[in-house]
Amino acid sequence: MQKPLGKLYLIFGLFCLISTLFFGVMAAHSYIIPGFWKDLLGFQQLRPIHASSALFWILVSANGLVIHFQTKSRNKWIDSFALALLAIAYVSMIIAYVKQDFGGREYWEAGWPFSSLVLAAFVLLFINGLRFFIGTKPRKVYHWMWLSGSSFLVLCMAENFLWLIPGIHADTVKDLTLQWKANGAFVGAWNQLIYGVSFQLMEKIGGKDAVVESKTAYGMFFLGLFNLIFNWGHHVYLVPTYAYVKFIGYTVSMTEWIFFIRIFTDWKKSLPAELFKLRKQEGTYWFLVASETWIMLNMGLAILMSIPAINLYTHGTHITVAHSMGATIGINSMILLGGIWFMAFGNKPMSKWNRFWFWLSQSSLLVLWLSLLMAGIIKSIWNSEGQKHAFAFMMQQSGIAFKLFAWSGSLLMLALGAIGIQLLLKLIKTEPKLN
Amino acid sequence: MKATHIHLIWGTLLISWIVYLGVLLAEPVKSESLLNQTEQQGKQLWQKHNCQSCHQLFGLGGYLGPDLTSIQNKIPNRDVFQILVKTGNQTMPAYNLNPQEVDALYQFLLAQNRPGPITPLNHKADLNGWISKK
Repeated sequence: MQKPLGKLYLIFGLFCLISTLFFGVMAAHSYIIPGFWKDLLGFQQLRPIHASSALFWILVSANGLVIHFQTKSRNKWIDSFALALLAIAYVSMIIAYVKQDFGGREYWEAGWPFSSLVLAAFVLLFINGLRFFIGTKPRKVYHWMWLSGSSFLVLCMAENFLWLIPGIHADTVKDLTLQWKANGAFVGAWNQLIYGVSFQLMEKIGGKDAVVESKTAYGMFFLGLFNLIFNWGHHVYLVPTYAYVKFIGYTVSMTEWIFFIRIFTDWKKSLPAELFKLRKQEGTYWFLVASETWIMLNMGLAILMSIPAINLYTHGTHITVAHSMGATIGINSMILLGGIWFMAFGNKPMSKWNRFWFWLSQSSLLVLWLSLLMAGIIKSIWNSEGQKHAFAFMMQQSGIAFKLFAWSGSLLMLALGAIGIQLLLKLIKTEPKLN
Repeated sequence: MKATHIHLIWGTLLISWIVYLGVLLAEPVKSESLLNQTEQQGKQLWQKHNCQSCHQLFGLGGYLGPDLTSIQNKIPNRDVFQILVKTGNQTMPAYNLNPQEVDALYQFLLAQNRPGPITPLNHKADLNGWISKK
């Protein structure tokens, strides 16, 4: 009975993917055409629609894949109710944005009653995830990752409501610190769910479970969890917050990505040559290889940005956006698409057209990433010179970067949209594969 | 890896999260970071109109408009601020705020400068990667 429910989550998730791509491109055009759609749907509406759709794509799909792989002990009514709450929250948030009915915080701008529906859904998903965890033995590293992910989604989402307490709302420093603690750790929580999925896929594709049971895998898992709890401080180096938060953030940030690369390298080594050749035709393999590449690019950028001396110049520039786009599209979305591809198409070789869409998505994402870095560097120089020119002049200087950003974003929408629509149709028409 | 070791490490990390949150919540309020009634109303308006979508405070928020942390360096006085808010410009929509709301929003933005923003101008990079005041 669990298979169709995971499928429903993924259908909803893919719909959010298509939505975030479309509204992201619309928002990007506001940078090159001033006043673009201003009277119909302004940037202050487009940005939250894009960001919330992206969050729902990642959160709903990650949970959908976890539900799909957790084939026992889950109560289908709990999962169904959680899905209904998420769907109501998403639709009502989009309506609120269109009506310009704001009042919340960054990424959850529609106000706390809307995001409380999401929190309620996370609580239900945690209860079901715990039921599965208790009923599963022997436990593997990805079971722990899924439990950690669902627990911290609840904790971080609840933390996101602390600003409603008057004493915190009135304290600028505490409020900013807690907001970035919650947001930073929230990303770590969904990463636990997604990396758990990637470990499960590695096991299924590789046909071996040595990697996912290794000490390195557990080491990487605990390091990820440790970073989730402590490394968010690198977001607030330039916020007048407590010194120990920044120090802990700096120290812990330097450790994160190394173990994950090692796991992937070990995984590739563990594949026999013939199987490796065969897998090269498959979509899941390519999506996981793409995520591996983006981990390396983003790891380099993340480590540099986490050094306060560099962050002093890059903070508040598009370099931060490059990092978040690289992580959410390059890493999170590639693993999720790999998982959904595995469900929809299994081991079937990728068609010529799909290979084209895949490579178009990778090349356009690379141009988008580089264009954001370019815009970020221009703003960093402007900051370092004490903002002696007007803001509008600096934005004008970044014109080429913004054009590249909007155009490559349009191609990315086309490529990932084509892949997303195919997966959506395939999931609607057929029963997904379990193995 | 032994199950007991996994339980122990996982439990320790969960407790660490709770303790870290508790430490942050227990931090005493600094007078410069405390908002008065008018400034708090301004903060609510900032959220209600989703100003963070285009503008940043301490570098956090959207990038289409300028960072408004040190607003007094960018907008000379409240009257100019009122004209900008009420008429908008090519990219920014016009907001129909009454004079009291404009004032609350302006006071809130002025209050952001009290704890003191950290910029490349007032800080320098150290060799160990840390930053310190000039």
